[in-house]
Amino acid sequence: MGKTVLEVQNLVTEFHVEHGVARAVDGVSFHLEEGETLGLVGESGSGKSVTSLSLMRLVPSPPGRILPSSRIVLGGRDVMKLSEREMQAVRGSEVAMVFQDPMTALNPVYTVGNQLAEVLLRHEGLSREKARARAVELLEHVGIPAPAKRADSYPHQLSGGMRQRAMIAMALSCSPRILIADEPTTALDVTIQAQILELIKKLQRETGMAVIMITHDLGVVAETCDRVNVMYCGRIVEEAPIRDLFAAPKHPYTRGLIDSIPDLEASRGGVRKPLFAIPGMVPDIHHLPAGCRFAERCFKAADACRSSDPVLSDLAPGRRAACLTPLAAGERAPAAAEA
Amino acid sequence: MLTYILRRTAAMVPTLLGVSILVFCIFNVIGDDPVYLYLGKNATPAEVASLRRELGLDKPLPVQYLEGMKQLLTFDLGFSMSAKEPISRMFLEGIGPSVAITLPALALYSGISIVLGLVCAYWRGTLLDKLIVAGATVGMAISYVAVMIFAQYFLAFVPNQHGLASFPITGYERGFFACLPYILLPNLISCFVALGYDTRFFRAVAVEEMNREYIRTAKAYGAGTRTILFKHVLKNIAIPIISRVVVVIPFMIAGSFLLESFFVIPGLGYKLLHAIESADYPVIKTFTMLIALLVVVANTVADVLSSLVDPRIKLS
Repeated sequence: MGKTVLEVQNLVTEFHVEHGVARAVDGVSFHLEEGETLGLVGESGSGKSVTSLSLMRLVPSPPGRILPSSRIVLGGRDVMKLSEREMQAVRGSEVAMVFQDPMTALNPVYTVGNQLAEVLLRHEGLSREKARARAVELLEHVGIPAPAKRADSYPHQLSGGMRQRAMIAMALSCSPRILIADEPTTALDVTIQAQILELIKKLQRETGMAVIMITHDLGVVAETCDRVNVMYCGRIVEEAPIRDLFAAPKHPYTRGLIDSIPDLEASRGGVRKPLFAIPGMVPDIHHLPAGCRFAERCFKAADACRSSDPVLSDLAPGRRAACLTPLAAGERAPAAAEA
Repeated sequence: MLTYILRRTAAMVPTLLGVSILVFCIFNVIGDDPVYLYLGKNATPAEVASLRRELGLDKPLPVQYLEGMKQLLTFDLGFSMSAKEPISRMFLEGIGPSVAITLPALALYSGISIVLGLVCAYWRGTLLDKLIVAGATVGMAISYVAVMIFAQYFLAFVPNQHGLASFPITGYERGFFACLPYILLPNLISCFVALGYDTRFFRAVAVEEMNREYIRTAKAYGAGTRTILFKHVLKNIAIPIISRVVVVIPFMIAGSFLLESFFVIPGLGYKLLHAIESADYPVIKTFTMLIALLVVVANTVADVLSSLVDPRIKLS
């Protein structure tokens, strides 16, 4: 067990919208250890991106608000108690982020080198020439050919993969302790995806930084993560080491996600089977049910599930699930078993 | 870059040709007979024929057009019928006062409204934003004419009556320092009138930009307010800024009819208004053409400036 670099307790992030208050993140707690990769998995709207933005206190306010009872401890300091100026010193230097779409995440009217140098000037206090030289070094380090030339390129002059490499170079520029990768490969095509994930893993090995990998793609999770938190409707519903998660998920939602992965092996030989899907829809965040938020879609839901809200509880060392009727090994939805 | 500028300049030629044909058609083909308009109903046939010859209107249309073009190219623009002076001199004399009462205001209110717009966008939804927007809306709601009358009355006339030092009520003097007292109040008025509109315009543009993902990236890498606004947002909204500010210049210079009339400032608007009142056909036609020329030039300048700030605009 490594040292804990990030500890999040009871994180609640709300958005004040016209017809009320939406809790996009509702009591999320987790920790992150040095050098590990933690997956944050969930479908769109499950709160994983808002969680990551909350860690950096980047939730736009208004309308967003992180409740003051939330605790985010980063390297021994409570992020919630830092001033905005202290927070600016943390952003990009202790915690860096890589975003989904590198086309829109980089400023279109400044060169890649300029944007890298801006971060270096701010956090590392380098001179202009040194920042520029270091920017070229970083671009080279993330595998961009002709880095000196590329430093003078504008984002639109680079390919999607190159832009994401440039973004990663920026993330790396101040040797952060934590890298938050928010769907870093979603906007890229599959061959580039593998390269980018490999690059992140390689850099992680070199620097020992911890990575929070936010994704909806269980394939990415399987390839990169040591430990996974599954999010549903603003909450963590299951936490497990990667092997256990795929081998024996405890939460019916996790089971459903795994069963929804298309199986190439099974459909070889010309037999086409319908793809399993979790029935129903994610509940409206303004009208959440009283009991378990997944109950309506759950094949195992009992009456108790509809009336009492399960809390995330320890099932085994390193394994937590928020479910009143956790699954036994091999248990799955009847429809998924047929499929 | 230089080739781009040259290319854009060359591209002005067909536009200007089109404009010149259009202006020619409006005045020489479609419009009322300028000779009758000028001389009135009681003119004798001899007078009509004589003025027609003087203006060259007895010649075939293509010849008239070519003569007009020759006048423009040589800047020998003919004579005004009412003021009895060369139109080229009228134009050159008018442009100075017009520039003096508008461009300082343009620079001032553009600067202020850009900063206010950026501030509103950054702190959108806060009390500061709401106050600025409310102020801008009130400013927009007050009529231009009302602003002029109130300013002239309360800032110039009333203090003058009480023997207090203040702005001159009307008039103009030539010379860089001599004109200063006369141009202050008109500039203040122009500034006040445009500030509300432009603040709201630049706020809208900046708000859209603040929602872009690269802003989130900049924040995620520790950028402070100043870097976000004046490095990242400002350059990205430079194109709407340039098009709004540069393109409005010819209209401000040549279109300050009210301001110049109220303050009796011998600018282009004032002169043009007088020409219109006295049906001075050569002046109206030539001024129209010159203003069109200014508009085309301003648009080209805006294009060139835009390509300088945005690398995505292809130069090839």
